Amino acid sequence: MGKGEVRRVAEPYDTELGAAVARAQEGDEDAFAFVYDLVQPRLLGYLRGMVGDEADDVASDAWLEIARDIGRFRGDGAGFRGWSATIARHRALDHLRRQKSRPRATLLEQDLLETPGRSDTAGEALESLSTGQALALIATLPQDQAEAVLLRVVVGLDGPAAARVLGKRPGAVRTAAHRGLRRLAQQVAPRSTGAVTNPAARTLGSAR
Amino acid sequence: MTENRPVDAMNPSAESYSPELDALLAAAARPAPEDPRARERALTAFRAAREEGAFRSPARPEDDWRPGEKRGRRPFKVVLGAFTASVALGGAALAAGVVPEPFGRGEDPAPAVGSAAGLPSPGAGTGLPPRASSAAPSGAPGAGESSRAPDGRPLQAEDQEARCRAYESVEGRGRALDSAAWQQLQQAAGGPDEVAEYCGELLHGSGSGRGSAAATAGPAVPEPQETAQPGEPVRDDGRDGGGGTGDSAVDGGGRESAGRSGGS
Repeated sequence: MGKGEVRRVAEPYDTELGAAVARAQEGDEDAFAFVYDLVQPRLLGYLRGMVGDEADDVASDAWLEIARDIGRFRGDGAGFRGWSATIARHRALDHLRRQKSRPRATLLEQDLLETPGRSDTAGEALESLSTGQALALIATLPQDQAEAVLLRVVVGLDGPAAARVLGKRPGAVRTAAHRGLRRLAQQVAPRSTGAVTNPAARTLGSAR
Repeated sequence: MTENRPVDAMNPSAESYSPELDALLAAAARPAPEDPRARERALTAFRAAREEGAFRSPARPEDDWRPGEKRGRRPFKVVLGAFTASVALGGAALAAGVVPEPFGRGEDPAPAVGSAAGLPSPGAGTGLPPRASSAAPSGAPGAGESSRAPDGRPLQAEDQEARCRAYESVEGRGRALDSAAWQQLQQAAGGPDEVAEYCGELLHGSGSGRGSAAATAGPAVPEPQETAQPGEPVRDDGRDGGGGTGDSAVDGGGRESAGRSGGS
């Protein structure tokens, strides 16, 4: 197994993102739209892993806050991804608290049940994995592992940034990401037939 | 944004988990389709915030994502700077009388110049009169602090000046301060970026309030001219000139009378 060490990913667009954020802070709406287009897809992926099919609503709330507070932000493009992920996470946790007592079938569970059977070669099956199915699989992990994996892989944060978003020490997040990835690797390994269609699959929301 | 980015994200020098996992992560990281209405809502919120002038709001600690300011990853130099500054701030505050002295100054109003405040001082300490103890409450730890500024300024202003002097003495590293003093400065100034200006105004702007002497000696120094205490932590040359202006004379007078009261 690997070391769980997901190397820092300097997103190719981080420089542009940082510049656009700076212009948006001056009130440039086009720049803000550009920031949105760069950041939103991954933020949404993270939120889908967190709250399933409510992700759109939560993302909408998060963007209201991002739009309002963008002038307060200090940092570069990579920093902005961390800052915005923190806001999104808080909104997601708020949402999960509100929803705690309301178990529900989510789109993600649906996705999960429709995951291709494991009789064909693993490679082919996984090639055809939808984003929703992949996120649903990640969401079956314990929450700390799922969040670590989502922030590292989906949002593309480096270890220290992910740790700051989660309010944890970098070592703890590294360990959680490692465990999560190892667990996922076991789940999708060719020999573990049927693991993907785990009926106990759930989103983080219903896990709480 | 390529689909194989998460695979790149795996440390290639490390053993890969598995190609299957890489495929899974690639799928997870694939950008989700966008909802144009959500985008429009975000832009509307942006315009509203711009109208309200929300963009001029000061940064909170959680808004600072500049490299090097990450929690728990402060470079050694910054830590050292913060430590130095904390000591300097603490010293300035102590000298200015902000921090209660642990040496029982109230009982012995005439300590020797330049020595530890609590040491017996044979010359000045002879026959402490009742007046000394009647003067003591104002100098006692934590008591009547607001009344202690001889020129009538609330002591709070002096405290702030002491902090500002400390801030300036560690200029450039001041941002890294985590101390309560730094927090207070920030609060008073209205944000971390305003502190420099705020302090500049406070220390150099208005004519009054120079009072570097406030940050020098204890209240019972017999010679008011003795302003340069050896242990004075934040004094710097630029401020020495300021110490000669009226304020320090007033301060000195205050101390002088205290000294006299101790000696009579």
